[in-house]
Amino acid sequence: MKHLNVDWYGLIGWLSVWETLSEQSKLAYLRVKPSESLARDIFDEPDCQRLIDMRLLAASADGMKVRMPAEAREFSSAIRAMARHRLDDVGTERALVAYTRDHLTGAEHEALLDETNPRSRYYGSDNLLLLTRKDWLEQFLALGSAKAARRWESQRLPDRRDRSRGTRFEDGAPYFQDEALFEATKTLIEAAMTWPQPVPLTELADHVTNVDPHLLGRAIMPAVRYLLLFPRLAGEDMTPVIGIWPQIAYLLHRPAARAPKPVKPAETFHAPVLIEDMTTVLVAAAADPLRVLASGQGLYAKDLQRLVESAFALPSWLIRQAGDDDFDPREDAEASSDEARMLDAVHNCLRLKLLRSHKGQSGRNQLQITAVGRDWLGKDMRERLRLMLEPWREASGPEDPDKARRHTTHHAAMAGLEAPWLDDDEDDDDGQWLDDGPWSNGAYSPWTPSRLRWGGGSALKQVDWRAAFVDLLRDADGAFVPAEDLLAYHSRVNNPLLGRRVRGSYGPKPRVHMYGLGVGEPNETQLEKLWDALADDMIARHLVPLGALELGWLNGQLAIRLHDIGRYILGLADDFGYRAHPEGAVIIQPNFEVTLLGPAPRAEAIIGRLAQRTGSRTGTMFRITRASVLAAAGAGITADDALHDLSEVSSKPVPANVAREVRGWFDTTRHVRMRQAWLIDAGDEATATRILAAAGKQARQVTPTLVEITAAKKDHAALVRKLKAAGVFVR
Amino acid sequence: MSSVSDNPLIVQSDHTILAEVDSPRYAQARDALLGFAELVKSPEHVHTYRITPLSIWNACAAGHAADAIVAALEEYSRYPPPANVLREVRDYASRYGRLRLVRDGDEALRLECDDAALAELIAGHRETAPLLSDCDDGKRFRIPAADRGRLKQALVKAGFPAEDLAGYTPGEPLAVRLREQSVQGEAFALRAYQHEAAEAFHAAGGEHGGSGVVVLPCGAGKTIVGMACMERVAASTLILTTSTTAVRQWMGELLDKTHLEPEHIGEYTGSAKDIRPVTVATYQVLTHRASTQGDFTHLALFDRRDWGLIIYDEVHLLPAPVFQVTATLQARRRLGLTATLVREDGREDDVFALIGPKKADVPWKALERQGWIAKARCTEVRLPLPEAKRTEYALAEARQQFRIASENPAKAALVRRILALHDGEPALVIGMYVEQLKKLATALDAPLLTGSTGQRKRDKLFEAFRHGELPVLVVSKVANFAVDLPDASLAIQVSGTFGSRQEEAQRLGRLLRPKRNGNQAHFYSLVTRETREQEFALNRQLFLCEQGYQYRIVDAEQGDAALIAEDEQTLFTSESQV
Repeated sequence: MKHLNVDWYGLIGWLSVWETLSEQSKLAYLRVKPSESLARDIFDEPDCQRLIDMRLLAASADGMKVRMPAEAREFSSAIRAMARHRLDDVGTERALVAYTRDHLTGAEHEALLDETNPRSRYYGSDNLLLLTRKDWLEQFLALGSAKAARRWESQRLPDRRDRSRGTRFEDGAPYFQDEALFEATKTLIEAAMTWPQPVPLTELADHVTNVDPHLLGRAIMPAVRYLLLFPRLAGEDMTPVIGIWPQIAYLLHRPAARAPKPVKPAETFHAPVLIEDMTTVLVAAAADPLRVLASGQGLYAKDLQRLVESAFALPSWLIRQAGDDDFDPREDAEASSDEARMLDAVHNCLRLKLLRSHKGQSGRNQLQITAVGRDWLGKDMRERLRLMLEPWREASGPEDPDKARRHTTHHAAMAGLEAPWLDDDEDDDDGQWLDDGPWSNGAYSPWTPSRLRWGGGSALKQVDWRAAFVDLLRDADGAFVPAEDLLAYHSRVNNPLLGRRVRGSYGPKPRVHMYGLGVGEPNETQLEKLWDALADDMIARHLVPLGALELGWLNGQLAIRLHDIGRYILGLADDFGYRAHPEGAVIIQPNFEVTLLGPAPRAEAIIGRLAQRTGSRTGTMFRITRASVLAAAGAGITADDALHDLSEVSSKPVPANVAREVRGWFDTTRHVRMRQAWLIDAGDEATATRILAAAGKQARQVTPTLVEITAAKKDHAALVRKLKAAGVFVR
Repeated sequence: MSSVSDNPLIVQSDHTILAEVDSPRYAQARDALLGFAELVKSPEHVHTYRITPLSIWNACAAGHAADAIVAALEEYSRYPPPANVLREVRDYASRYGRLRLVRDGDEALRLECDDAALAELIAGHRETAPLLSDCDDGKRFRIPAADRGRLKQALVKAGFPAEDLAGYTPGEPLAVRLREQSVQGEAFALRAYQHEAAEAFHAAGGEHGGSGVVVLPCGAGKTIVGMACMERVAASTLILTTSTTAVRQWMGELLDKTHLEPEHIGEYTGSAKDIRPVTVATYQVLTHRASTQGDFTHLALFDRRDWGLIIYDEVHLLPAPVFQVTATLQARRRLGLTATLVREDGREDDVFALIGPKKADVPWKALERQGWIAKARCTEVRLPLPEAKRTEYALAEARQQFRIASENPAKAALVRRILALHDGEPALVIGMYVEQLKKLATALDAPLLTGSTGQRKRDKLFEAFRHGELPVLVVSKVANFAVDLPDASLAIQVSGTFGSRQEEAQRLGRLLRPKRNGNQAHFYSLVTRETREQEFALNRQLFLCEQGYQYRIVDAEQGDAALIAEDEQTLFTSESQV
C-alpha cells in the first residue's frame, strides 16, 4: 500500500483539525509538498496558525513561509491521496483503474487480482471490475472463520515465500492473523454496505458503535488494503469520507425499479419495413442486376440511390429517432439511413439466396435475382412476411448450435428452396457481405444476440432468449409504453445476463464485447447496460423491421406496442393479423406508359425487364420504349414472352398499338455472332487461288481476293511456312 | 399504407395526381380536380393531373379554399395523400389573397398587405422591390397605375399573387346582342357550359370578374363564349387571333350570330387596317416590325380606341411582345380563350398574371358524351416502301430518308381507298411536301391549298368546302391553325413530322365540330413501314394517346375492313391476335 498505509485511528484524530479549516486553507494544504516551502499567505491566517500549532505545518524563520514538518508527512500523504481520487457518485471503471494504480504497488495489484484470474498474471487487470461487484464484498463477508480469512488474505498478498517466513509487509499485512481485527473489519464492511453514501471518517465510530474505536481504526487498514472500502474527500468542503465502491452502493440503495406506464402517442407507425425493403431490392435487381463495388463492400452509388429512391418512406420522427445514437446502438449513425436500410435488405436477400452474386460481362460482381427470389416476389405480401417470421417463431428455448442448424434447414425450406441454401456455390462471392446478425457463424438463430461476444459462451447456452423477449414485451402488449422506460425496467428485473459469469476464455481480448463495451468480468451495472443495449438492438434491428412492434411518438419519446406479428413470433398467438394489400392493378396505357395503381412488386419485377423505369412504388412507373424492348431482346426475351408477360400482369388488355409496336421492335432484332478471324489479303484473285491451293482445308475464300485462315492458331506458323514454300510470303 | 380501393386518385409526392378512369367515382373526382389541378395527359385508363402554385391560385381565385382542396384530395384518394402535398397546397393557397391591388385615386393604385412581415418580404424581393418604393405604413404600397401589370407579374414570380380589385375602365359602349337564330337560319342559343363560362368571366360586372381565361376543348365553341362575354361587357372589343383566316371566321361568326352590323366590325390584318368598335386582328400584324431592331408599330392599335374588352384567342400562343403590351392594359377587361393552359414556352404564369385566372374549364369527355364535340378515331396506316424506292432510301441521308418515306408514291392509292371508304364525308388531305400534294391533288382531282394560295382564293375554297361543293381539299401546313371547317369529318395526313403539342391538337381539332351525320371523325396518318417516318410517327402516336384519342395501327395490306374496324377487334388480348 503506497499512500494510505497510515494509523487510521490517529489520522481520524487529526481530521478534526482538518474539518475546521476553510476551503481555501484545505486547498492550500493539499499544495504543500514535503520538499517545498510555500508562502504563508495562501492559507487563511487563523487556519495557518492552527496548523502550525498542531505541528501539521512548520513556519520558516522569518515566519513568511511554511513547509511540511516530518511528523505531518503521513497525514499529508494520506489526505492528498484521498484528494486525488474523489470518485464520482457512481464510480467509473476508469476511476477504479486510476485508484488501484495509485495506491497499490505492481506486485500488490497483481497479487490482488491473481485469485480472480488464477491462470494468468498478465491480463488480470481485465478482472478489476470484479472489485466493483457486490460479490466482492459478499465473498469477504462469507468468510466464516479467522482461518478462512487468513487463507483468503494469503492468496491476495504478493509473495508466498515472504509470508511463509511470517514476514509482515510495510503496511502491516497480513492482518487477519488477529482474529479480533478480522471480525472488526467484517463488522465495518457490513455496516458500510448499509450506507447509501460514504460517511465522514470523523463520524465513523458513530456508525459502527459495536466495535472499539481503536480496533475500528485498525480495521480500516485491511478494508482499504483489499479494496473493500474506499476513503476519499467528498463534496466541496473536502470532507474525508469512507464507504464501499460507489457503484455497489448505488446498486444496493437505488429506488426499486418501476414498471413503464402506458402512454398515448401522438403519432404511430407500423410496417414490416424489412420485407418492403427486400421487395424493393429484388424488384430492382429483377430489372437490372445491382452492381457491387470492387471492394465487395457495397453497391455502386447509382444503384444504391436507385434503391433508396424506391424505398418505403418512414415517418420523419422515426428517421430522426433512428439517427439518434441513444436509440440505435450501432456506432455508425449512417447506419440508420435509408442506404443502410437498403444494404441490410441486400444482406437479407443474399442470405436467403434470393439474390446471388456473379460476375457480369464487365467482369465486375453483380447481384442478380435468383429463381427463388422471383418465386418469393411472386408471393403476396402476407405470405412473404410469414416466411420471414417462421424461423423466429420456431426458435424457442435455449439456443445451441444444433438447434440453430435446424433453423437453418427450416429457413431454407421456408424460402421455397429445393437445395439447402448453405451449400457452397462456386459462383457466390457473398462472403464479403457477411457480418454478424441472426446468421451468426452461418447458423440461423434469430433470437440469439449474435453481436454479443461472451467468453466461453457456456454461461449463455442455457438462456432462453425468446422467453426473455416474451417477458420484456409482455409489458408492451396492449398499450404503448416508452421504449426507454421499458428497457430500463427490464434490464433490472428481467435481465438474463445478471448472475452469469464469464468463464473459459483468456487472452488479450475482452471476454464480453458488445457495442464498444469490452470487459473481462462485467459488473451488475454493466450487465444492465448490456441487456438494455442488446434488447434495444433486437428491437431496432429486427423486431421493428419485421413489423413485430408498433412505434409511437410522443413529446420526443419513442413508445412501442407489441403487434400481432410480434405475438406470433413470440409464440403468444397462433396466427397474426396482417392485412396485406392486394397487389395493385397494373395498367398498360396506349401511350406506352405502365401505371401501377398500388404496390405490385411481382408485376414490377416482370415489367422492369421490358420497360424503362420512370417512377417508383406507385403511379406511372415505366415506359415501354424501343430501347427497353431492344434491351430485353438482347437479354434473350422473345416477343411472345414479352407480350405474354405484359398481358399477364396487366389488369386491362394490352392496347393494340402497344402490342403491335412491341412486336415490331422485337422483329427488327437479330442475334449475330462475332468472332475473331485471321484474313489474308491476297491482292488479286490468282494469288488468292494459290493460297487456297496451298492451305487446303486450313483456309477458305471470303471474297475473290480475301482468304480466311481456319487453321488453329498454333498451326499458323506451319501454314505460313507452307505458303512460303509455295512462293507466297506473308507479311 | 391503407387504401380505399374504390377511390380513383393516387396523389404522388411530386404533386402529380393519377386518376383511374374506370373507377366508379372517377367523374366526381375529375370534376373536383378540375378546380385546382391541371390536366397533363389523359390516355385511355389513367389520367395525370398536376398541382402547381398556379393551379392552386386559379382555384383560390375561383373561390376554392385550401381546406376544400385538401378535403377533396382526401375524399377521392386511394391512399393517404402525401403530407408534403397537402402542406404545400395549404401553403400555396395561403399566399393568394394576402395581397390586394386596389384603386387609389385616378392615377394610382395601392397594394395592400395583410401583414408587415409579408410587406417587408416583397419590398425586399428582387422582382418586386423596384416597383414598391412608396410605402405608406409598412403594409401599403402606392404604385403608379401604369405598373399594374408589371407588378402583378413580379408578384406571381415572387410567389405571392395579388388579387386585382382595382377595377376596369368601362370602355366605349357598344351594344352586342346574340341572335336566337343565326343569319344562316339555324337556331342558336348558348349551351349551358358556354353560358356558365361567360357568367364566370363577367361576375355580374364586379371587380372579381372581367379578366380571366376560359379553357374549352377544340370544337366546343370558344368563339361563342367570346361573343357571350362581349354581350355582357357591352363595350368596344379588340379581338386578337392567330391568322387572317381566323380573323375572317371571327368576323363571319359575329355577323352570323350577333346583331352587329358589318360597319361595326373591322379587320386589322396584313391586308386591311380597319379599326371599328369591334376590331379583329392577328397576333402577327401586332408583332410585325420592319426590322429585327425596329418598333412594333401596330401595337399602337391597343390605344387607338377606348376598348372595353380585349379577347385573346388561343391565349396559349400569345407572343411575348403582346404580353408586354398587355401588361400596360390591365385597366381593360381581358378574356383569354384556349384549349390548354400549357404553353410550350412555360409562360403560364404570365397568362395568369396578365390575362387573369382560369374562369372555366370543361372536361372534354363530358362534352363528347353530351354530343357537343365529335368523337375522333385516329388510325395509323402502315404501308411498305415500293421495291423501286428501297435502294434510294437505303443510300440516302437521314433527312432525305424521311422525305423519301413520306413521299411514298403508294400513298396516293391508299388515300383513294380511304376516301372511298368514307364516301360523302368532307375530307382534308394534309401534307408537308408541296410536290407530293400537287400530285395528290391532281390524282384526286381536288383543289390544293398551300401557303402561296391567296387569301381570296382560300376563302373561296373554304366556302365551297363548307357548302359541300368540294368534298376533298388538299392542304399544306397552312391548314394547321384556325382553319375552321365545321363539316370536315375526315383528315388524312400523308406526310409531316410531329410538330408541337398545340400544332397536333389544332390539326385534330379541325375535326371535332359536331357532325351532321353521326358524330364520328376520322384522322388517318399514312406511314411508310420500317422507315424513319415510322419512328417519327411514334411521337404523334404517343401524343394523341396521351390526349385520350383512340389510336389504331393497321397495315394497308390488311384490307378495307381492317381500316374501318371497330376498336374492340384491334385490342390485344393474347399473342395469337397480334
